[in-house]
Formats: sequence, structure tokens, C-alpha cells
Amino acid sequence: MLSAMVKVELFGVARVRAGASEIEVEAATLGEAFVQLAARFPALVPSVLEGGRLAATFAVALNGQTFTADAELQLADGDTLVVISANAGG
Amino acid sequence: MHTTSGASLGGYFGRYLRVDVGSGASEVRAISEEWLVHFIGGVGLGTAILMLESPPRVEPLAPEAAIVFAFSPLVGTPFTTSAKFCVVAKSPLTQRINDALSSSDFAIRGKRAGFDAIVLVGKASVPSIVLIDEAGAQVVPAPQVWDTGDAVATVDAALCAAHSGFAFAVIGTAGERLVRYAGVANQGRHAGRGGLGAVLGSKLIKAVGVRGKRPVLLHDPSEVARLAHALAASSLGPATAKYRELGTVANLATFNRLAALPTRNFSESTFEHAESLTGETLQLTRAQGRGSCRSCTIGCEHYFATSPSAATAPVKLEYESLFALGPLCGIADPDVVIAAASRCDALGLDTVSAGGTIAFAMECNARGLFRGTPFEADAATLHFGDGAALLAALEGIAHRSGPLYALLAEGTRIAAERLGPPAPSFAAHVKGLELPGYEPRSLQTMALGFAVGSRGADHNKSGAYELDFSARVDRFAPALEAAELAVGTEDRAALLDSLILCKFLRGAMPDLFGEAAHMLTATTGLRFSAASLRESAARIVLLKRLFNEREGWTRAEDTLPERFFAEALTSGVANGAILDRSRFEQQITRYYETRGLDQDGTAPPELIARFGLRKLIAHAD
Repeated sequence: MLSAMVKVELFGVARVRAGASEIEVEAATLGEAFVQLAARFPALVPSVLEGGRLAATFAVALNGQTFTADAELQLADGDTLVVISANAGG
Repeated sequence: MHTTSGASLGGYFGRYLRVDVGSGASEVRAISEEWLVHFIGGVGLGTAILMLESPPRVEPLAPEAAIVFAFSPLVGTPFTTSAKFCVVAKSPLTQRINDALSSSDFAIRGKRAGFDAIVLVGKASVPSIVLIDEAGAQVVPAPQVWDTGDAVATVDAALCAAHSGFAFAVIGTAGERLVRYAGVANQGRHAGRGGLGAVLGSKLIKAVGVRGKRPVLLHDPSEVARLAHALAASSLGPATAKYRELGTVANLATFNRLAALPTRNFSESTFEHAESLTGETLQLTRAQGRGSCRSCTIGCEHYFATSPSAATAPVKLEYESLFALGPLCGIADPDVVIAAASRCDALGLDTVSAGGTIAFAMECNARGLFRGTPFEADAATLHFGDGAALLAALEGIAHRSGPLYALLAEGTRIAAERLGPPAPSFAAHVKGLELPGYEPRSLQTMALGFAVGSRGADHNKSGAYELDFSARVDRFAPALEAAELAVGTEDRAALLDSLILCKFLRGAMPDLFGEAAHMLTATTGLRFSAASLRESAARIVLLKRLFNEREGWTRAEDTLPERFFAEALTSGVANGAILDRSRFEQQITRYYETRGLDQDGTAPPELIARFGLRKLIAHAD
């Protein structure tokens, strides 16, 4: 599988924990992107990320459009992963 | 009161107080154990009582109309977020059922006066307050607090000083002037939506005061303590982190990114100036600390300064107020938005309906619809993005000063009807209740939730947006099965609203129905189970629909304004998104099927019988 350069955008608590709003990572799949993210921002573990997956209270939208929970989802160059709180309402 | 097994009943007093504020007479009425098990408390109990006490097809602002303040078996117990009450009445804005929740000492003192609910009927002869304590009720003339122009907080403080030991629910200028979306305030919080403040105002009741120290019995105190401790611990976990650390204002940046942020009267779904209003920006530039409701461990209230340099009282700000007084009206200046939220609080105005109605008027003005009408002069400055015009409109609406503001005080539905086409096509309401901050074309399961909601467009009674923010549905084209999932979110909301516990706990209670059953059984001694609570939740949702049916509801009301079917979004990731009417109608039909309703959305007799509602409905008719 070929790796892709993707942007990860962080909102809400994820942004607070990371201390950053976005980052570029190189990953072939969604799961790999999360592993990269955890490595770059250890403060995201375990409240936001654990074992290559998002914690239950977070969600991710591919290119800001489609929410997905598929860790094997293959990524393409230029994709954006938008990470938000799963309890996005209120 | 005792259970049928003879044990003392915990959590409940088994009675409600009915007060005729015209004659001053009050009467204690018993609540059966069957009702307590079927309707639990809060919204469920309040709706059942309203069904009995409010005459069919009553005008909501008529003396005969009833207003119910309902508590729950968990009020006065150690459970976190349990200090809540529900206000239920027929809404002057929607002509349908309206139930609004709030949190404060009012819940605890009202319950401990010895009642599971309080009902007001009639109309006082002069502006008055109602005082309720363990001895009963008094209707006390109070012209000195009526039409003073004082902020509700000022009136609340004055009443508390004058009446030792009472907690008050107060209406503002907007309620006195019968603005159809006037709210009921209590200790800085609001039962905001649907015009309940106008119902009290129509009775010439400025405030309801409650005082009491009757103990709330607990059937199994040690089990209640154990469960309460566990719930408190869960409430401080990751599921509530967003609320604790950022508050609901965090939604604005997220929604803007996902192109779900209603902007300029729902004409767009991203706001080019969103960055100035995001929760992150507000935290950096004007955060003034956190607070919490009475008996709450979460602490979701975030306070902000009106301006970075001003020494004014901090203002509690939630996402709904931020969106409605900000992007919805095209306002980018946080000074204006926070000041507007503060004025709504002071005047006793629902921020969502106020912002929604003003945004509607701004679009009418932009389209020239006020030209040549009696409203033209007042409307001249009502432009999207004009903060001064927004603030002036709030004052004008609350006081009904002038023909335009008197019109806007009626809400978008009536205003649109009076203006005529094309206004109704972009009046963003459902059943007359202005939409909250979720763009339906970007969150199409939520769109269904809005349409079928018994209160109108409502993100509190339907949590369908949770599905849109998940991998379970395609938010731009949800499958028909999404309707079935949406039913589940309604049932969970109905349970939480009847328990009454804060919905921000929902992520901290992974087995909501099971955990709630344990809590209720330990508190009351009545036998609740997850299955019985699932049934009660569905029963409560059905009862609210039955109330509306009695008041003239038809399937035609379960829809959204034409804008959402005719105009595609053009911004951000939602570019091109639109509601497909045929698919939408199919989803509504699927929703009805899932609920056991007929194709026209009405409840067949066998469904009413299945939920044990036949006698109540017959009596209420």
C-alpha cells in the first residue's frame, strides 16, 4: 500500500490536548494516520487515541464530508481527516 | 405514599398542587402509582398532567390554559444533574405541546414543598406572584415588580430578598408583553423555548416562588449513594470533557468546518467570519471562568466578558445563543453577540427564536419585502451583519415597540404569513418553532428529527444529529433505516427528560435504560427495568404526539420550510447538498411505521391501548 500525505485537522478537546489545530502526516490508511498522530502528539493518548483508533468520544470525517470508523480505509494524497468530538451537539 | 407492596414510596410524594391564580384556590390532587411508573416524572408526568388539566383546543394565552411545573423522583437525591424541573404548556408560538427544562434550586425547593408537580390555571386580577410552600399556595399581588423594565436577575434577587427561603421562576419584559417566545428564568438559567414566559404573562403572574424542606425519601439509601457516586465519577470522564473544558461554544468551529453552521437565515452553511466567534477564540480573548447548575458535577457553563476590556458582568454563553445571534444574523463581532445574549437573558427572550426571527426579518429586508408596508421604517436598518440593528431589534421585540417589532414578537411563522409569499418559503421554523443551530441539508437525519418533533424544530427532543456525526449514516443521504435510529435518540431524550437528568450525561451512561432502572428502583422502591423504561419512553413520546393530535396536528406539519428542498447549499464540503422531498417523505413514513403510527402519522386505537393511554385520552377529550 502506498503512503499518502494527508492533513489532520483537530477540533475541540483534541485540539486542546494536542496544542495544535492541524498537522500533516504520511499514512496509507486511517489507522496508520492515527498512529502517526499519536506519535507526534503523545498528549492525545489515551483520551483521544488509543491503539491506532479514536476513542469512543471522538469521530473523524474524511475530507470533512463522510464520517468513518474504518481503520483500514485507504487514504489518498491530499485527503483531510477532520477530528471532532463525537458528542458534537449541545 | 406506599408502593402496592406496602413499602414507603421513595422519590415521590404522589401528588400535585393545582392553583387557580384567579380565585387563589388551590387543591392537592393524587397521582397514582400507575402514572408514576408510566410517566416517571419531568416531561412524562408534566405532559400527562397537562393532558388532563388543559382543555382541548384552548388558546394558549387564555385563562383556562394550564401550565405545569413538573419535578422528578430524582430531584433532591444525590444524583448528579438531578436538580432539574420541566415546564409544560401548550405553546403560544406553535399551538402545540411545549416542554422546556431548567436547573436550579427551584427544582429542589419546589419538590420539597411536597409536590411532584405544580399546575397553574386561571388569570390573576392584578399582576401577582404565586408563593408555594408546605402549607399550600398564595397568590400575592405584586404590581411593584411588574413593568419595571428591570432585568429578570434583578427581579429575582428582589423577590428572594423579600421572601425568605423561596426560589423563584421569573418572567421578563418579554413575558409581560406576551412575546410568543418569552422564556421563564430561574437563577440565571432558562426554560427558554416555546413561549412559556408568555403563558405566565397572560396569567399576570410575574413569578412563581417555591419553598420547602420536606425530605425526599430514598427507598434504598446505601444503593442510591453507591449509584450516585458511580455516576458522579462517570460524569467527570472523557464523555463530558468537551463540556467541561470548552463548553458548547466549541460546536461553532466544528460545525463551520463541516458546513453545518446555519448562516444568514439558513441561506448558507459556513460563515466567513466564524474564526472571530469560535469557542477557542472566545476562550483566549475573554474567558471569565466556569460554573455549573445546582447539584451538577460536570460544570459546562462557560462565562465570557462582553468585551476584552470592559468590566461588565460575565455572560454565560452556549452554542445555540452564539449561532443564533452570530452567524445566523451575519454578525461577526463577539462584543455584539455576547451583549445580545446578555440582553435576551435580561429581557426573558429565547435566544434561538429571537435570533431566528431577526435573521428572517433581515432577509425580508434584503429582498425588499417590507417596502410599502407599515414595517418599512423600522426595518430600514435591519441588515445582515448590523450589530446595532440586532440589539435594537431585541429591545423592540421585548417591548413590542412599533409595528415591525410587534410583528416579530409573534415569531417567524406568523410574521411570514402576514407578509405573504415568498416569506413562508424561507421562514426557518417547524410547527412555528425556529430551527436551532444545525443545518438540515448537511445533517439530514437531524432534518427528519426536526420535522417529526412534537415541540417543533428541536435538537433536544431528537438527538438525530449524533447519527449524522457518526459513521452509522451518510449525513447527506441517509438510508431509510436512519429513521429507525432517529426513533432511538428520541426515546433516550424522553427518558432523560423525565428522569430528569442532563443530556450531557448521555455518553457517561453507556447502558442508559438499565442504569436508569437501577437508579429509579433504588430511589423509589417501585420496580423499574430497562424494558419498562424503554416502553415508558416510547409512551411519553406518543403521549406528546397525542396531545398535538388533540390540538389539531396533521402530517402536513411534519416537514421543513421550502428553502431546504429548493435551494442547494453552495459552501464548503456541503456544496450541492439539498433535501430530496420524495426521500424525505419516505423517511417520515418509515418513522411513523417504526413508531407504530398510521401512514398519516396518527396513533391507531390499538397503539393507544398497548401503551395504556386509552383512559387518559378519553378523560382528556
